[in-house]
Amino acid sequence: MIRLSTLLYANTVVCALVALASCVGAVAPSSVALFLALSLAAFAIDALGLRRPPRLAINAVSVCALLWALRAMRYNNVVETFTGAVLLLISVKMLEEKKWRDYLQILGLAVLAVLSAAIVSYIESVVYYSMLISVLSGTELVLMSWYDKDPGARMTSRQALRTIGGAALIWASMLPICLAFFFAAPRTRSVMTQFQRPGVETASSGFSDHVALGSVKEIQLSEKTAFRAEAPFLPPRELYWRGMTLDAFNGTAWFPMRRNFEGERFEAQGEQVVQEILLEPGFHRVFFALDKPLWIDSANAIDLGDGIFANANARMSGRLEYRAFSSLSPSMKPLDPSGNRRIYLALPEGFMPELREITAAITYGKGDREKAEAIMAYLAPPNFEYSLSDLPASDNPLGEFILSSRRGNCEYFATAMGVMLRQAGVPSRLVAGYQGGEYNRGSGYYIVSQADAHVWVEAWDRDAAAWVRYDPTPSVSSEMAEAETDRKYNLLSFYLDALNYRVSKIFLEYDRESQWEMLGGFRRAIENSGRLAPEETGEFFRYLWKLAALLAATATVFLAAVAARSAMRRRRDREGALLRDFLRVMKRKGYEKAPCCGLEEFVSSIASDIAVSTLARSFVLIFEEFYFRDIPIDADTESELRSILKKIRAG
Amino acid sequence: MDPFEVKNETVLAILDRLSPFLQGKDEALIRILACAFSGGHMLLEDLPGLGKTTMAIAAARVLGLRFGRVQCTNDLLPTDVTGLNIFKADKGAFEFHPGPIFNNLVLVDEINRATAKTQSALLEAMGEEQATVDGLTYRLARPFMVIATQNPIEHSGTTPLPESQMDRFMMRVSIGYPDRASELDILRSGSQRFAIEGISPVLYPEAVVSAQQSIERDIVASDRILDYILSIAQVTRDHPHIASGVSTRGAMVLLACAKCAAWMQGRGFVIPEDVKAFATEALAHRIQIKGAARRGSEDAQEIIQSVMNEVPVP
Repeated sequence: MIRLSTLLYANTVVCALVALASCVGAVAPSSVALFLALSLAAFAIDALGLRRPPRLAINAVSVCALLWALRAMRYNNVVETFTGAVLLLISVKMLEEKKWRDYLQILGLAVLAVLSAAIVSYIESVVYYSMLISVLSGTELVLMSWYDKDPGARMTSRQALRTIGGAALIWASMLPICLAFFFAAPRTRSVMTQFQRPGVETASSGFSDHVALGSVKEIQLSEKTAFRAEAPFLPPRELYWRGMTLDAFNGTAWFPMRRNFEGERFEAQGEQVVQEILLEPGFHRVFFALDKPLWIDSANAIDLGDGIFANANARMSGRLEYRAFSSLSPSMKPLDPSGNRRIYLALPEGFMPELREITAAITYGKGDREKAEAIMAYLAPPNFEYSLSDLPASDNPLGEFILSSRRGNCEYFATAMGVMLRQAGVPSRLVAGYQGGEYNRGSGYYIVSQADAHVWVEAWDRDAAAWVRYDPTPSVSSEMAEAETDRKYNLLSFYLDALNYRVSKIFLEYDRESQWEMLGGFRRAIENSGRLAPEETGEFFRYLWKLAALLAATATVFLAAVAARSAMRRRRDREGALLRDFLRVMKRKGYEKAPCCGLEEFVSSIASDIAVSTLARSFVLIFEEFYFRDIPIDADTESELRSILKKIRAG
Repeated sequence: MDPFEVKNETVLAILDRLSPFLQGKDEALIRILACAFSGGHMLLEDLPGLGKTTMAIAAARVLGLRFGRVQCTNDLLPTDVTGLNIFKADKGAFEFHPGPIFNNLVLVDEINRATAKTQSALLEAMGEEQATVDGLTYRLARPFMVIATQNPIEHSGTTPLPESQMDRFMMRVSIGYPDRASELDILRSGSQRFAIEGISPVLYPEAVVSAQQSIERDIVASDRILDYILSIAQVTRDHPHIASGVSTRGAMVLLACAKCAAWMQGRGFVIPEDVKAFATEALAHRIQIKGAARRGSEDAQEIIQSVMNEVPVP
């Protein structure tokens, strides 16, 4: 037996924990710590039956704590502070003696916390937390109304399960309506993201506008996902996700030259690939796409040339979803090969004469391509080794790397090669982006994580009149071989990631524009039905297909739940089903049993029809042996009885 | 309704033994046996001269029970039923002389002629299976069964049983007039009192007790049946023509009757037909009909019948 109050209490605790989990990333750690401390105290008081602090004291302390929590409120962190305050209130309520209305208040606060967490975060988990809290609140309301009627009620675990299941069923039956509201309800013109605290997500945004030696390492050590890209499966050597080019070097860091610099346009060469890319939340300066990006399908994309697409909306943090078109080619052929590339030879005045000597020694008298290959060979292992630890960090990190430590990560190798090429008179630049990615075959997309951040080199080949991609970092080639086996992704996390991906594609990315687009598709389809341009028709049908799939999915879930329920009831009540079938068969034969009439009575009332009544009697006699002894009918008996029924029907 | 088809060997033997004397009273006999085997008492409500006494004696004989008889009059004292202490001068002490109640099967004739005081002493004994005389409590014989008779027509000078006392009887049964053929038979063969005295018993008291116990214990009544019985009780309580419905004891008695019916028909479990078998006899005297609709016991039986036709079987 379970006490109703225990069940209600447990459910409330879970509600509070879900509220905490949903906003743990959005509020200050001190709020979380305070919440945990107070909740633990409350739990100890409830579990051990300790004396509760007086309500007045609790209220006084909570007002003080509330003021303390709200004192930090500024224009740009309203939601975070507010969420922290809500958490505090929950824990204070947990501390008090709980009547049903206190449970209701805790529930309301928990829902509020999840909602405000949803405003400040973009993570898919918000969707899950919202679903969880809605299921829990349904259960809580059911339990609460029961508790209000009969606080001392007890139930068996089966009853408890049924209660919770019933509450979940209420939720499930509401789900289709909620989804319909989600997709159809009007959306605001302004985006919620303006609440976003600046800087809260920059840690995950990857590259900033320059790459200093040693800075990529910090990105690489992050385990976060950078972006996901729906694309066909490609060989690993093609997986260079281009972000920006870094054109100028000041001795320790590389910079782009974008302010007053127009990049080059280039020819599309090689195989063309379309990617649907979904960047994780952050402040995105550039659109990433497979090397070489031709076009980015986004209103905010500015084509800067050199295969770089800047984000016009870079001050707005958030997810970024776009389609990118790339031509897969290691070289980039400018439309106008005669351009001035002197800036790609610039180095700080008198930079590292020692290196200049080495470069001269290995490249003397060679063509552009041979020079580049010679430098690649010079930087290859065992001369130089890849490492993410003990990176050179002196005033002249490049000198330390080349002359003494000979260990570094991609930006050391790329910098070394870039500088050596320039010293050898070959125009060069660095490209920052990502390399590699895990392919999720089930859903057909790449997961590119921050650990895949990479820098590589482009060198100008005068003979070919093209920029050629070189990747001097040794780890890339060796790691590539292991990539398939070495990653910690297993099947389950692949599926989970795929689920996350779908959730963000369907729910988090569904904004005003998507809605408008969908509505527009409908309107166009209705206005000029049959006279649509082929691509419009395709678009429309894609939306229709998505909508249908969604509806079908919810309907399937709903029907499955109903079917499972009735199947369970059927299995539990095999006798009832048999009895119903018997009575149906007899009715078809013209003998209808009155509800008050016993089975034997019924059978002997039709004694004149000997054939039917004999069979029916044999059915009834076997059936009663089980039915009125409370013995479940076994499968053999059931088939025997069914065969009798069949005979009655046939005869 | 399905004829009551006895299959239990003991009961068949009893019926066989009594067949020469039944003369159309087999239904009444089956009910007497049902009461005997489920440890209940019976109220025979009939006009005089229809063979009530004969039946009671026959049942006592065939079950091997000691038979006692109380003829109720308005000057009958409780001690006439229970027995009394008599001072024995030679022993210098009181000696208890048990009354007719200390038999296995007691026929209480015209119970409504006894005074309320005597009635209650009798009914007390029926309920408690013990009798208290001068502060000393004596256990009654086991099995113990009372068959009380009552004349439904004659009312002058009678003390009708209070409704609450009616609850103590398991069944109320009327024998009714025999059909013409049976009556002709009776006339032809004359009184059979002496022949009945000569019936050899089929059972003995301990066998009756053990049959009672095994019926109580071994006949399965599923939750479906219990639910059905409770539905019946509930309908009588909510019925527009019934002032007070079947009590919990009434429901228990109905269950005991149903178990006994199942046993008599050779079944190890109760089916709804068993509940129906003695429902009228077991329930009709337990309900009180609202004033306007009240005419007699037939009405109560009709109402119970209509209730049974209303409650769906499981």
